[in-house]
Amino acid sequence: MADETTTGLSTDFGGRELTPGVAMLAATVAVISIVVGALLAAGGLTGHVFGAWKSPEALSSGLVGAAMLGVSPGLFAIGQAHVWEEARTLVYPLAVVILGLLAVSLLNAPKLQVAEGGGLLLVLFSLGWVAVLGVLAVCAVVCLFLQYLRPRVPLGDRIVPLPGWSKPLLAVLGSAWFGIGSGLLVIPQFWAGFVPWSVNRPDAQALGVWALALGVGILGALAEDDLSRVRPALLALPGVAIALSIVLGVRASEVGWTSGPGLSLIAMVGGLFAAGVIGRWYLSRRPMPQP
Amino acid sequence: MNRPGRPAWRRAAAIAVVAACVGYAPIAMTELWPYAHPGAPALGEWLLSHVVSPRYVAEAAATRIGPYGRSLLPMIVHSVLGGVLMVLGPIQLLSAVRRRTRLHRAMGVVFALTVYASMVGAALYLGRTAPRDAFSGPAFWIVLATILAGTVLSVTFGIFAAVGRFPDLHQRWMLLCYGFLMTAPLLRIEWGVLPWLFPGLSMADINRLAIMHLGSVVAFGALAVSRTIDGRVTASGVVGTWVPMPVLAVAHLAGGFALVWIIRSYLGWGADGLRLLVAYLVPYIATYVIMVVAARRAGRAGRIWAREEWRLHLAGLCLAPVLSACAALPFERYMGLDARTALSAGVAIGCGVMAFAATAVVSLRIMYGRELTKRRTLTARHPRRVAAPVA
Repeated sequence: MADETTTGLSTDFGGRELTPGVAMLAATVAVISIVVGALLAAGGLTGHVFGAWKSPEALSSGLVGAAMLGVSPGLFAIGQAHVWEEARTLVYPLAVVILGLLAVSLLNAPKLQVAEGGGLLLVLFSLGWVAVLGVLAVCAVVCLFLQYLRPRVPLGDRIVPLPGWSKPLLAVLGSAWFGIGSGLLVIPQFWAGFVPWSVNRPDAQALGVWALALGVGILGALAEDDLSRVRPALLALPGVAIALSIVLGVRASEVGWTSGPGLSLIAMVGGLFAAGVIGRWYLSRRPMPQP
Repeated sequence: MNRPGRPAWRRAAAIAVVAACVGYAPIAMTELWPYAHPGAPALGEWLLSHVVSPRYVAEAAATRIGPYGRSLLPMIVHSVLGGVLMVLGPIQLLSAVRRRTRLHRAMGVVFALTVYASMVGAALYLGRTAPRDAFSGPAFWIVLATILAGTVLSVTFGIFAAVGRFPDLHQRWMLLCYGFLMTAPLLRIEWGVLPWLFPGLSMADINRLAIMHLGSVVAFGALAVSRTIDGRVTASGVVGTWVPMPVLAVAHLAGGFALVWIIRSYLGWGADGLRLLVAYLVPYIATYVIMVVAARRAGRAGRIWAREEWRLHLAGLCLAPVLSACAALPFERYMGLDARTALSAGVAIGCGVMAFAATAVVSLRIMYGRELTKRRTLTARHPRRVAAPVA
């Protein structure tokens, strides 16, 4: 049932009403992410390559699984949003991940387990991976289209603007993730050299999709410039950072920590955590608007 | 969740299921003892040897010494915890029906952890046992693996539903989970009963017959209990149908083609193929007829939600032969199975997998309806106007 704690506001501040389709898409992806992410992350943690395609190491698929697990709380929080503008900073990255992973899977189809052959479980997983991503991709496009058909009330002034000191830092953090993500996705054979462990082409591009999505989310939050509208993203960022850190920590021996890329990775993952935690703390200290 | 109906047959059915579960518990717990200590008493073996014959049991047990010996501890964990689950299941169902919420929640945690632990034992056994070494062959290995996945996923989704405050979905997923667990006692019952219908067959042959309908029977049982408990005329926010006539027609058409192909395949495999086909078709047709009749009755009585749920599951049942036919391809190619075994494996898992898929679609339906209602209520309660910013 609706209540004022759903959005934290007793009045709305404009924007488009969030459609049930977008909320359902987020919740469905969250459930799938927990189940599939747990499988991939468990494989990564135990050193077993478990994924839709063959990989030289288990770390990459483990990190993809960790990111899926870490983002789930944020995806569930989308259901509490009232308007689209409270959810879009996480929904856009969600769409990037779904469409991006589907594209990577199809572009690297000859490297999928079903094409290269392997254990039955991995073959069936790769078939299911492509099928589920395909269905989710169609749903994502349809849901976003229907969302934008909703009438828009002009947005009011920002409720809790980002503190000024945080904006350059967020710009650097978002650009870093966006940049490395774009590079890995578009020119994996070059940019894979900047990943401090062994990756093949599909691994590099899948990691690139996730990095790109993180960049889109952070830069989107910067553009939104209102902490009250980025609650789901503020929940997702530390979740992803913690999950990535656990997998990287357990498989630390496989990572070139002392290299430039290794140090950058530490800074970028740390930046995710700091952005989410500080953002949530700052938001909790600000009073909510009165009607 | 509504209370179960009062008709006497429902009460009798509930008592019978609880009795079967509780009666099977000691059988499950003692099943592996003879493999740990030769000569140790095993209630199940004793019963079967008296119901059928000692030779019937001894022949089967002789083939199990190797595979079970390699995974004895995991199998003991799996079977003992499986017996515990046979007792916990009725406790959960009765505590839910009688609204003993605290007991239900407390025992629910125990139930979920026991399921996960039991399935870890099963996974270790399957991982260490080559499909050809499974009892009665690779098709049974595939069925066990599918039941394992279905059990773990349904209990997980049941937990999600409980945490998300969807009691109706929680009930459906947990009933499906328990249905998958019930394949164990059901299989033992069939080991004892089917030899009377098909005398002279070994337990391995009886097992191959039983798996042709095991999944469909337990999944239908879970659905039947769900429908009995859920007496709602409509569900919140559920309008229209996700299974209009054209969709149902396409499902029937596709399923019909696949079924014809399956029938022709089995008829080409002699008497053994005919037996397997009968073991598949009789429960399938019975389930189909019940679903069609139930959907029509619900529609005529104006019970919109019941009709919708029956139709969703009916569509899943129609598509089961399609999945079975498609699944046979990777089984044949990636497991090196012959066409007959691959098709039998596909047929054995088809109905159960599609029942799982139908339950997932039912869940999405309910969740979407609730989301729709929530957003409409939100809009009605919070008129849209621009807020003043914080000073």
